[in-house]
Amino acid sequence: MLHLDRRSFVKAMGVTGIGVTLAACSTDGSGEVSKGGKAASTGKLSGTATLTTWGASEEIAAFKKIAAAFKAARGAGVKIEVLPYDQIRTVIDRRLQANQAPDLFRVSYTDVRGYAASGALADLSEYMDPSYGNAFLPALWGAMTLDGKPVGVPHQTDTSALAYNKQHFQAAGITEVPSRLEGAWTWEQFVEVLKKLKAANLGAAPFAFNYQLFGAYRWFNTLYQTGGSVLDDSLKKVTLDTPQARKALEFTKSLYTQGLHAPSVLVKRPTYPDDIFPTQKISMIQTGDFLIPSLEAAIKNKFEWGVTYLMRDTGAATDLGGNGVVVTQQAKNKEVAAEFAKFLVTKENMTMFCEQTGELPVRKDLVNAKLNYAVRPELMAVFQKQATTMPSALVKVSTAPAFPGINQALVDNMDQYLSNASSTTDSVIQGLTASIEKALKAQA
Amino acid sequence: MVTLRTVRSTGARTERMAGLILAGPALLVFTVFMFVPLMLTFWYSLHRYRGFGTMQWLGAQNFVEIFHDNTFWRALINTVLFTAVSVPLGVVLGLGGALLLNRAMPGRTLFRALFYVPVVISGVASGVIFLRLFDPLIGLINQLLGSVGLPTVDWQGNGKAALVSIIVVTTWQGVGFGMVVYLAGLQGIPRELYEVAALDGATGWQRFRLIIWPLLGPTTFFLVVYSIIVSFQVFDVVYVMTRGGPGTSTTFLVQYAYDQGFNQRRQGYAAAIGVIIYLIVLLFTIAQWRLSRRRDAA
Repeated sequence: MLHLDRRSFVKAMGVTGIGVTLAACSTDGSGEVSKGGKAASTGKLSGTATLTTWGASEEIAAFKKIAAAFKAARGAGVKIEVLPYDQIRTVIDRRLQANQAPDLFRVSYTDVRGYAASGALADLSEYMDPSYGNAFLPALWGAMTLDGKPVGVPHQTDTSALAYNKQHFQAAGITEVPSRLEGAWTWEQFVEVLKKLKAANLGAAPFAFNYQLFGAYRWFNTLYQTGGSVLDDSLKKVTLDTPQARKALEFTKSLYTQGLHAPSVLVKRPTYPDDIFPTQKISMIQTGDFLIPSLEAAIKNKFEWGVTYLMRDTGAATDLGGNGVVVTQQAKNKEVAAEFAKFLVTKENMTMFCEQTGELPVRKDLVNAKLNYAVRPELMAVFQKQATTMPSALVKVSTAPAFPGINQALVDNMDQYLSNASSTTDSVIQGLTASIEKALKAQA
Repeated sequence: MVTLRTVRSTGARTERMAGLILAGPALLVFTVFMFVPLMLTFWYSLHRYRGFGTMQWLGAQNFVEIFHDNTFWRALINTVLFTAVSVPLGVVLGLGGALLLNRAMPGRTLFRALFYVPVVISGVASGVIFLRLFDPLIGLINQLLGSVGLPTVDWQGNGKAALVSIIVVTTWQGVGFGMVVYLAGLQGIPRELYEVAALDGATGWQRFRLIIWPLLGPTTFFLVVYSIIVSFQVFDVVYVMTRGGPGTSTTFLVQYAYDQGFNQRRQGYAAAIGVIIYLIVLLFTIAQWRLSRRRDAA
């Protein structure tokens, strides 16, 4: 039986020191703008706004449901425009360039500050009470601000754990799977499990990581599990030339060289393990909670599958995933956009969105609430517990303005390292360090 | 009084106006979609520019950086290698298809159409189709190889295999065009020459070597230069199938420029790479133009 302790999750998300202080008890935590403020949150609005997003069908349905409720409550329409995940950043960038940006768009926490620092996002101070941000987990609210000014709202968070094929595990003689975070496999135990899967000749690759393209940063799970880090506390110096980083890199590569990782699932190509897992060609994948509904829909009754905690080395660690919604500086209907952003993250709407999509809420008053997840709620408990292992240093790095460049450095260097047997750990550390330094310099 | 000079002057003006009106739409399209973007590319190449926000003047710094950029040189070498393999392959297969479908045979029109279909399918659609076919885990090609006892190939994790898959797809796409061009060339060869050769007892190979191949010279030359230019601009299939990976195995110049411009948000640097691609293609175009002119004059 899993024991949930969400308080530690709040703690992890609240001690990152990214410049956001929590004003003690200055709000009831509702996230609503106080009455009589510059912008009342209940008055009728006119016109329409467009929210550009990507998402699984469950996410899009939830967005549309909230837009319909907003129309009924406030009178203004919000058009939900859906783009493929791979293209969202490129399309948003081009629209910003062409002065045709949507009023709002969904954006990962790792990307917000890059946009904000370029002046692409609107300052929403006039639509939000100064204490508005107190309703959210501090680290994530901090990610949605630049110099203390809000540019959007944090919407949900997600993280990674391991999904496995129960039939394959049975066939390989793996009878026990960790049911407690504290009992998660060590790297050595994890490798032994993969070796058993390989030896069972199931016609499937034993494992695949989920660090492709914009998700390349999920490799940092491995780095932080072994006590490594990307940047120092000042976020100015690359700290990858360490024994811990070498160990993390060599562990990752060893999975490929020993035939324990699907060889074609690399970093640069959009070959996502969650697309392959339902075909039973991979026995276990590292995956995000937001994929539970789509995995369940694709697998149906083909086989039984479960979820367990990420492997650990000197400690446990997982990534900061999730997204906020921001309002653009070019928004044609800034008021409707800002009000819809706030409407999206009311307690009721965030609850509904997370329950339908298998994602984790980011409001403080929901972190300890029991959500009725629509799909495989028993699996969500593992992700909720795993989320408490997000290292505060990693959250801090993940929300830095230079993070998109850091992620891209991983895409380029890790793909080369993992696909080329002759590529050395020294060369990838040099390459990563140089590329990340370039990204930091470009952002300075 | 209307003089002859007035009449001539009015006529010339009318002619100029008519010329402008007739050429106007084409000029407008050229200016908006070719000339202005080209000039902007030159302008961006001299700046640091994220695509939005402010631009910062860098002078020739982007070009200096390119000179020291190992990935750029890798991309250039990859592009040259890709061109060196795919152009001859496309030309030979195009010629073979044209020779085959130039003779009377049942279903000839259907086969010609089938050969040409890949040319009109979008590169992205072709890429998606072949991405599935070449998928190492769930793709049809590996399943077929496995079913006949052959070892499967890691088409996406192995650099050489990935490059081969790109060459296969781009060749499949281009063969139809080469075939149509060669068919036009073949039909321009006077029938009398074949008849004379037959009377002289020439074999099929002799007919090809002494009549067809020399007379298809201009066609081949056009096709080679055109294919080289297209090869230097290959992008869509690469983007869909490999994104330039694994590592930099299939990173070609345009893919690298795209990556820098859109993923790294270094539009100035990407524009500088674009300028270099432009100059390379320009060299081939000038060569083609000069040789064509010399041949026409001869």
